[in-house]
Amino acid sequence: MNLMSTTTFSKRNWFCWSWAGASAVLASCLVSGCVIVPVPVNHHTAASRTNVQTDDILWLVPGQTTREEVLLRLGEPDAVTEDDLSMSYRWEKIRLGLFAAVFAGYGGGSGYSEYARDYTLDLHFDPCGKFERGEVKKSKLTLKRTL
Amino acid sequence: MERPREEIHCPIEGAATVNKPLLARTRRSTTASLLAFAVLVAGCATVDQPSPDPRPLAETEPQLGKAPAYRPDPHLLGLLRDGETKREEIVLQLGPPARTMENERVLFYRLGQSPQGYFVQETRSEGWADVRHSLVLVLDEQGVLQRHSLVNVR
Repeated sequence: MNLMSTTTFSKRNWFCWSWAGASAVLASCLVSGCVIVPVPVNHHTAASRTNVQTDDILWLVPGQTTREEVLLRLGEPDAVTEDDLSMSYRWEKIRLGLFAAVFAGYGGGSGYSEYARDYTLDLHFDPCGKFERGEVKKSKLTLKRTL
Repeated sequence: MERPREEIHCPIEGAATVNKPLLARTRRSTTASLLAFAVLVAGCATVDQPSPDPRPLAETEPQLGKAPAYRPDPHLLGLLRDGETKREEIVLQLGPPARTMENERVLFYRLGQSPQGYFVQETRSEGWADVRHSLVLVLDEQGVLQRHSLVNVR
């Protein structure tokens, strides 16, 4: 009689353990997830120049502003054609941060990634050295670094 | 009628009645649960990208003793006088320019700055990481300084 009750108890105990294990696995599956939070940022990268902006194209007057004026105001360009008729100023800005967190049961992890955009101010001059036309180009966002 | 206590072989009191195959199955189930749990709680991995400028620190610091302009000097730009200073004086004092334009009529120097003053930054990298100012010198046809500007690039 006593043995019978012991066996019943052991079976119940086994079922309890099984249910506990299955529940733990199920709970882990249910609470697993990934949270991605975009963080708006706007700052230059460490190697970028910071003195040129997209608005700089506004003070350039076609047929009036000279190349010399541009150079004295913005400094050394990042690229120049051999004939000096075209030159570019480039800068790079971090425009988006992504904070990602993964939760899985009692564990998890998190990380932060930064995405940058390249800007180019292309300026074209006539043979007399007068500003002719200019344009600002923006690249797509690219992954810059992951922390 | 109860059994005598000495017949129980298990040293743990109360555990004598546990069914051994049942215990083994329970252990297997627990182990499987723990394994599954360990897999599920695995977290994110981070990836470190290499620095865009892998130069050693010593190379990024001012090159002391190489030329006068590579030492921080508060009077480094004192020689620049529009209408007076000649190209030869500039190159002797500041070294070769980082870039020239318009048949070497426009000279560019990249300058760093420390509490001791300005110094010429050697141009080994494409970026502006170690540069604080761009010095623009416009010369006339005779090679005399016409206009100059110290542009803060960072």
